[in-house]
Parts: sequence; C-alpha cells; structure tokens
Amino acid sequence: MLNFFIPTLAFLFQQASGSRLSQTWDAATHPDLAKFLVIGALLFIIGVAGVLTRRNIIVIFMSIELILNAANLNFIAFSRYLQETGNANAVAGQIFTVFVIVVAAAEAAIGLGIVIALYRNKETIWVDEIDLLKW
Amino acid sequence: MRLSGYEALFFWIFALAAIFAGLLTVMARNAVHSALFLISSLVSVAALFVLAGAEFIAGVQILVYVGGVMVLFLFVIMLVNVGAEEKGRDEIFNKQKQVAASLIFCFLLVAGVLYAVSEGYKGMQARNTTPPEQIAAQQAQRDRSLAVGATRTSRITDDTEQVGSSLYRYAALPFEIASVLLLVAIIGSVMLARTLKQEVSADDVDPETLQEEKALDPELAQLEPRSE
Amino acid sequence: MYKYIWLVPLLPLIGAAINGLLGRRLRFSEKLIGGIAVGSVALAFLISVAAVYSYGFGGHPHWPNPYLTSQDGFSFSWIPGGAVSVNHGTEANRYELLNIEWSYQLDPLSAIFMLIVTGVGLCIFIFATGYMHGETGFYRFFAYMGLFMFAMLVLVMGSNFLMMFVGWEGVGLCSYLLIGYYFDRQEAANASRKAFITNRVGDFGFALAIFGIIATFGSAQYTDVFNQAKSYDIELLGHWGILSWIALGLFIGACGKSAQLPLHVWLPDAMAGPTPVSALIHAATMVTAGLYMVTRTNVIFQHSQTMLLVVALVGMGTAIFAAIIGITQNDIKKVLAYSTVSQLGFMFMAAGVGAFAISIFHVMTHAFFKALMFLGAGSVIHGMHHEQDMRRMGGLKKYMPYTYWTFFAGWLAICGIIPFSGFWSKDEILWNAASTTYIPLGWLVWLIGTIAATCTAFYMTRLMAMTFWGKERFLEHRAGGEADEAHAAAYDEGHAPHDAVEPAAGDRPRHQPGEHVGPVDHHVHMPHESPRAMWVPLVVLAVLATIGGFVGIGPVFEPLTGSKHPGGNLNIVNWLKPVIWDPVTREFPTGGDHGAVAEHPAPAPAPATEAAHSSTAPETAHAETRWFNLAHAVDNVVHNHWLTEVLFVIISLIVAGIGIGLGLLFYVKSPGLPDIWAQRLRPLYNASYNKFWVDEFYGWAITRRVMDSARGVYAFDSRIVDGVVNGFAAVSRGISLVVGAVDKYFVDGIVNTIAAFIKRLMSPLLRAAQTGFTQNYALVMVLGLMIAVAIFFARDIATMLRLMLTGS
Repeated sequence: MLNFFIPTLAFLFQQASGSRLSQTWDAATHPDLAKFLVIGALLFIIGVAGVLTRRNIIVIFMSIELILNAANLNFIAFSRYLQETGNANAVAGQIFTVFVIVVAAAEAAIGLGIVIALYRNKETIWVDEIDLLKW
Repeated sequence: MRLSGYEALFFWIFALAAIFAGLLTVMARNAVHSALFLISSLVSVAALFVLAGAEFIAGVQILVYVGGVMVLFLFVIMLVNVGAEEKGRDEIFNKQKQVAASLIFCFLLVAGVLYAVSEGYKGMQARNTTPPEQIAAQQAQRDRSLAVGATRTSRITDDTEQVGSSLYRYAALPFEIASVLLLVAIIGSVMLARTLKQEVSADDVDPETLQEEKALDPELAQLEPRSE
Repeated sequence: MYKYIWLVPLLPLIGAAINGLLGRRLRFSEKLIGGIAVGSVALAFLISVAAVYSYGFGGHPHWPNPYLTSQDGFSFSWIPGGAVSVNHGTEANRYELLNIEWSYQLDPLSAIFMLIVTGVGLCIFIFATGYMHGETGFYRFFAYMGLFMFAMLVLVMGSNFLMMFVGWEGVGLCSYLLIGYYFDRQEAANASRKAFITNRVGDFGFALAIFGIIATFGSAQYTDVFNQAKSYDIELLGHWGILSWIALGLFIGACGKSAQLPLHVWLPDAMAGPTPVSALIHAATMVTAGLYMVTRTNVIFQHSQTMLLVVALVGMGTAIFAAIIGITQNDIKKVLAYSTVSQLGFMFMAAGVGAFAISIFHVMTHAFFKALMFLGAGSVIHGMHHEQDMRRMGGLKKYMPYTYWTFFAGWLAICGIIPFSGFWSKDEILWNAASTTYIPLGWLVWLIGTIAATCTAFYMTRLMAMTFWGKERFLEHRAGGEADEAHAAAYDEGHAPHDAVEPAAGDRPRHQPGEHVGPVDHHVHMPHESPRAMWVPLVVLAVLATIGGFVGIGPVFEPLTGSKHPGGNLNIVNWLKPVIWDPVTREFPTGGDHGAVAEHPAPAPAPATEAAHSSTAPETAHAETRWFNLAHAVDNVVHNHWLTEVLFVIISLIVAGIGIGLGLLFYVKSPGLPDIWAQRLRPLYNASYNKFWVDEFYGWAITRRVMDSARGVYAFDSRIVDGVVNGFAAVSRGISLVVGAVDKYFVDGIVNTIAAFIKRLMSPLLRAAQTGFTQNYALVMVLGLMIAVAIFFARDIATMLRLMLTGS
C-alpha cells in the first residue's frame, strides 16, 4: 500500500531533473497544473464527505456548492493549461465554468425553496427525520 | 502554467485557505458558521482563479456565487431557525455507521482521483513535446503583447474579452438556454415556497385538500379565491 | 324430305328452350310465347307430313324398309359400350363392342306416331294459347309443353331402346312438371308426385327388360334386336323363357306409363293439371307410349304366349274396371280420365290378342276423339268460369254451340256409332278378340270388352246429358259445391290470395277483388262460348274424329270396298304390315296389299289366310285350336264367315245403342232413376264411387308400411347410434372435468407455494434497502462513482494488487 502512495505523493513534488529534494523544492515553488487539480480533488472529497455525513440539510447544500466549486477549479486550471500549450479552444473551460455557476445558482434557489416547503410541513431540518420513503 | 515567484506563494496561501475553509464548512456546528466558512472558501478559490488567469470568472464567482447564492443560504438559515444547534444538544453528524462508510468511500475515492491525476499528468507530460520553459517563454511573450494598465504596474489581460466574444458567439445557444433555466428556477422557487394561505388565495388548491385544510384552519374559508 | 326428320324433335325443343330461358327474363308477350311454341310445333308437323309422304308415298318410297338417319349421317355415337356377346341365333360366344347411337328411325309405326303427336299436339297448342290466357306462368307452360313434345318425339322416333327410354323418362318428367303446373296447390303437387312415382315403378321393369335385351341380343338397335329375335322359338303357354322375361319387363313399363290396372292410380289424379295438359299428355300421347312400345316389340311379345295372355287379361280388366268407376264420377275431367284408362285397356286387349295394327288404329282414333273431348271439357270449364262439377252444369247446348256440336261428334265416336272413327277401331278390336288364335280365353276378352263398351256408351251419354242437355242447374246452385268449397277452404286457411289479379290456383273460380269468398251467396256466372283460338281446334279434331276411321275399314266391308283393307298404303293395316311380325312366315312381311304377298315364302294357302282374317294363325303346332274360339263357334253355326263378322258388328252396334239408350233413359227421360238404382245397387255404387278403394289400399299396404320402416330406422339412428356418440361425448366431458380439477388444485397449489416461499425469502432483503434516508442513497451514488473509477483503472488496479501481493 505504501508502495503505492509514496511514489504518487513524491511525484507531486518532483521535477524532471535534479536531486530529489531540489526537484521537490522546484515543484513546490512552481505550482503546475497538477497542483491545481489536486487542490480541486481535495475540495471535492471534502464536499462529498460533507454531503454524506452531516444531518443539517442546509449544510448538505453547502457541501454540494463545495463540490461544484471544485469542478470549476478544474475547468479553469485546464483552460489555462490549454491556453499556454496553444490550443485554440482554451476559453471553453471558462465558458463552461460560467454555466456551472449558473446551474449551481438555479439549483440552490430551487433546493432551498424545497427546504422551506419541507420545513413548513415537517418543522425539521434534520435529514434523517425525513424518511417518508421508508418501507 | 508554471507559476513562479509571488504567484506561487499566493497560490499556496489561497490553496491551503480554501481547503481549510472547506474542511471547517463541513465540520462547523453552527450553520451560519458553515456559511461563512464556505464564503471564505469560495473567495479563496476565486483568488486561485485569478492566479490561473481567469479574472472574469473570479469576478463572476464572487458576485454571483458569494454575493447571490451564499446570501440566499443565509436567508434560508434565518428562515428555518437553526438556533437550537448553538446550544450543542443536537447531533450534527449522522450515525456512526453512515459516517464510517462515507469516510471509507471518500478515502478510496480520493486515492483513486489522486492516482488518476498523477498518471494522467505523466501521460500529458510525455505527450508534450515542448519543454515547460519554452511554454513559459511563449506565454510571457504573449503577455508582453498585452496592453499596459494605467498605473503601469500590470497589463490589461484579454480574458474578459475572450470570454465575452466566445460566450456571445459560439456559446450563444447555451447562453439563451441558461437564461431560460434561470427563469424556470425563479418560477419554480416562487411556487415551491408558497404558503397554504397564498395558494388558497390564488385558487391553486385541490378541492379535496381544501376541504381537509378548511377543517383544520377555518380562516381559509374567508380567503376563498377572488375569482373574477 | 325424310332425310330431315331429325329436325322434327329439335324444333319443339328449341322453341321450349327459348320460351323457358328467355320468356320471363325478356318479358315476352303472350302472343310471342304462343307464337314461338305453336310455330315450332307447326313446323315440326309440316316436316313430319312431308317426310312421311316422301317415305311411304310418292315416286320411290322408302317403305317398307325402315329409314334410319344414320344412313345419311344425321346421327352420332351416343354411348360407346363394352363387349357384349352377340349370338345371332346359332353362333356361340361372339363378342362385339356395344355401340349405342343417337339416330332417328322412320318406319311405318314411328310415322303414324309422329303425325299423331305433332298433329294433335298442334291443335292442343293452339287451344292452350287461348285457355292459358292470363296466367303468369304462361311461358313456363309452353316451355314444358315444348319439352314434352321433344321427349315424346324422341320416344317414338328413336332407333334403339335406350332412346325410347330417354323419351320415356322425359315424358314422365314433363308430366310431373305439367301436372304440378299449379305448384302452389297441394292437390296438384301430390298428383304430380304420384304420377312420377307410379311411372317409376313401371320404369323399373322397363329398365330390367332393356338390360335383358342387351344381354341377350348384344345390341339395343331395333333392327338388330328384331332380326335376331325373329328366329327364336316361340315360348308357348306354360313355357317361360328369356323372351317372356323381357316381355314381362316391357309390359310392366307399359302398365306404368299407360295406366293399366295396378298402376292406373295416377291418371285420374293427374286431372289436377291444366286441361290442355290432360288432353295432350293423358289422352293422346304419353299414355299411348306403352302401346307404341308393345307394338314396336311385338316380335318379342308374339314369342311369349303367356305374356300375350297377360296383356289381354290386364287390358280387359282395366277396361271394365275403369268403365265401372267412370259411371259414378261427377267431375267432368275425372269421367274423361277413367274413360281414357278404359280405352287404353281396349288397346292392350287388341295387342294381347295379336291385333297390333288394330291397337295402333285405336290409338289414333282415340287420340282424335279423346283430345277433342278433353278440349271440349276445357272449353266448358272455361265457359262455366272454372266449374268442373257436372251436377252444376246442364243445358249448355244453347250457350256454347261450337263446343256442343264438336263434343257431340266425339261422343258418337267413342260410343262406336258408324261411320264415326271409334266404331271402326272398336269393332275390329272386339272381332279380333272373339276370333283370336294367339291366346286362349278370347271369348272372355270379347265378352268383357263388349260389356265395357256398353258402360262406355252409358257414361258418355250421361256426361252429355248432364252437361249439355236438360235443365240449367247452374242457375239454381248458389255457393257450395266441391269447387267452391275447396276454394273457400284454401282461402280460409290463408293458402291462396283469391284476387282476380293474382294467378288463381288451378281451375278454381276467379273472383273480383274484394268479393267475399265462402259459403255465402255469390252471383251466378252465365256461361259463354270460348274464343276462336279455342273452338277452331275443336272443329279440326271433330272433323278428324268423324272421318278418321276410314283409314281402317275392315275386311267385313269387303263387299262394299272391294278389298280387305282398302286404300293401299293409306289403310292402316297395310301400312303397318312391315312392322308386325308374322308368326307363320317367321318374318316381317315386306308389306303391300292383301296381306300375304308372293315376296316371301308363305306356306299358308290363300283361303286359309282369308279364313284366318287379319291376323294369321300361330305356329302349326297348335293351328287347330285346343281352346274355345268364339268366332269359330259362331262360324260353325252360321256356316258363313262373312255373316259371322257381320253378326259381331251388329252386336257391337246394338250394345252401343243399348248404352246410349240407357243413358238417355236415366238422365234425360227420367232423372229420378239414377238415384233409385244407386240405392238398389248400393254396394256396387259405393265401390264405383270410391274407385274400388285402390288408393286407400295402396296407402295402407305400401305407403304407410314404408313410413313405418322409416320411423323404425330413424328411431334406431337417433337412439342407438346417437346414443353411442353422445356416450363418447359424456366420457370426454368427464375426463376433462377430472383434468381440470387436477390442474386447479394440484398444479396451481404447487405454483402458489413456490411463489409464497420466494416472497417470504426475498421480501425482507429487498425491503431493507428502502430506508427513506436520503444520505443512504447519496452514499450509494458515491459507491457507484467509485466503481466507475475502478473500472476505468481496472488494469492498473490489477497490476498494483499483484505487486502488493507478490511483493516487489
């Protein structure tokens, strides 16, 4: 298991040439696309964990916003990378981000409307108390 | 897109801030605290956007996401009155089984994602023929062609210009569809959040249900619809 | 001209086909239909006359040899058959292929019949156009009549037995169709069926005889058969051989067709048909087909002495039987019908005693006067507005003069008054009966025949008196009477809409629309004379009935006429000589005058021939008669043969006079006498009035027994056979019930148990997944995402696991 992770983590800080430490330092002081993606991945996981663990429905929604945000970060990172490597369609990433934001806003509005209606009917915000679909 | 110098420094600051804020969002007891932590996370991510050269999106993020969506969250938190948590009596996390399973899955998932990123980046590097320095030099050259700002400290990037020209030309149809989507969301949220009294006044209640509700709340009868 | 005799049957057939197939569809007018029918028959008659003239008279007559149309190619091979043995007398077991052809034969016998059928038929057709006026089935009537003419002509003109049989059946069919012309009347339908079925009984015998002929002689052509038959030995009384069998079959056929004693029952009922039908079919032509057949096959009959006796006795019995019944009948047509049966008996009497030519002579004269009387009766019925009961007629003399005078001629003819036609033929019959050497009991035949002749004169005088003379009884009678009652009954039962517009069923009174029908007072119809189309043929036939007998002036008048059979070929006996086999010479004579001519080796000397009169003696084995011969007995008393003959003539005239006188006495002078004598002879009167209960006897003995056996068979079928079938069905039903129960309780039970078991097993497991807890569902989604990622990296994960486990 460790054999799996150590090369991975080490890679994050690696550079093409030089000693391992210098490579690591170099990679650290010059964050690249990979760093962005990793940050996004971590945010994503945190958001997923929040969705699955919290009882408060508002917090679950906020975790969902985290997830969407992580995805946006990925898009922007790739957009930049592609722009630098000369791809003509690089701005598509940013366009996509715009739409993700739009959808996230719409979904938040609707979702919170549902929460309001649910609260009016059941007087609770704890998800585990809303189990009407239980057999 | 190698960042260097102060960019790299700020990258690390904002990256760690974002992760930390995100973690606290998930773990805060108070919902308002969660919201505020989320706001800070969003702002950090916006800064990361700037560092990645997408200033327009950063602005959009702050205006829309933080300024709109999070404010909406805060309003809803106010409406649903989650004050009870502050006293620390209610559980904020699910049952142990659920939490355990979630953490295990998340852990596995992050392992997979990180592995994927590493392998994928290696592959991309292998495919990329031009060395990173050359890419950076080209990008620097492109940057030099930009106009200089008024204060002469930075250049005026063309990101907004690019986004705008693409959005209103190539992405015009998705743009319009997105606007319709927002319209639908507005209508939907208004409809979903109506009270019974509002629905009765608008004559929007099923007669059977109306009878039942009238039995519970006699005032509804006076609200009989203004049918013209 | 005789080459074209094949046209003679064809023309009426074409006329019938046109009328029958197109008459209704194209809506021919009555004039057109009548014109086609009468025209076709007239044309056929003219061709017949020309043919017979060219055959027997004129420059180079073909007579006496028969002429077959196959000689000139007007024939076709009809039934090619298999091998039959042809023995030709002495040779044994020669085989030839039987070939039955369709060709017409013109010889003296068929010539006479051709002329009678077409000539008398023409008169009747013309009469019918007037009589059937107004019928909706006008076209149908003439179609059937034309068809009948065709069939009858095929019968008499055919050259072989099978063509005769075809014609035989054809006239039977047409008789059925025409008797049942008013098919909506139950009476007519029953009568037509009775006629057909009784005919069929006779036809059975006829068919067997034809089979015998083909088997014995190997051919069906007349010429072949008779040439072979003439060399066979004569089967004397008491010996019964093949020729007797054949003759028996033939005679049974003749009995059926010509209404002789056991099979006569259909003829009186056949009067339910229209009167022209009765005249043509049941007086002049169809019923004489039996006579034709017997005369045609006289070779065979003469070879069988037993059969000749049978023929004579049956004829005699029929004559007296029918004559007795005719005395008491009240329906004018029934009287004439029984008279027909009686006269047919006379004809068979003549054939039975060996006087075949005389029987044909009587056929001819009978055709004339009987057709005349039937048409006259039709005219009376028409004039009396379809009243047929003589008790309601009377004094019609002054209302219907033409009808009366023509009927008068016919009456004198049938009574046998000189010089009318009936006298000549009837007298010859009785003389031949008395003097016959062919069969024993000739004297009995003569005696009964004379009595029958007396009865004939009596009832015909009765008919004349009741119909034409005396009081006009129709003025007195109001509603009631047989015709009116039957009419009213049908109306009450709703069978017939008695509207003047609708075709009135049969000879029933026609009424004005709205007139009430029934036993209430209905006004008297004054009789009127018939239209010209109806009385002109009557006049023609009356003339024939008056002078028609001169073709047969017998030898008794030799002193006056100068020869035995005066007139050469015009004399019927001379004319028919080539057809009648001569047992003395064992040949068919080649004709000519004065009987035996030098052309054939005649062992009998001339005086003996004279003494033997018109019929020659049979074989010498019994030339001296072992039995009593009346003529010879009288001869021995009077010692003058001619005087003997004159005596018999006078006797027949006297008995005719007695009959007429009694008739006048009973019905003109003292009308009360009939009732007194009816009382005195009550049993005989009842027997006569009820037709000797023959129909009732047949009904009991045959009809009801057949229906009983039918009922028995039906019971067997419905109870036993159907019972078995139903039993099988019940067994099947039982089996299906058992199988159904097994399926319902056993099989379905197993299936339900298994299903319940599965449900109990799986249900809690599946239910456990439905927690209602949203985050559980979200967790499952994440799990799915993980699996997708894992699949994406399946190979790498496998490598990693391998590395981990194997250690590297």
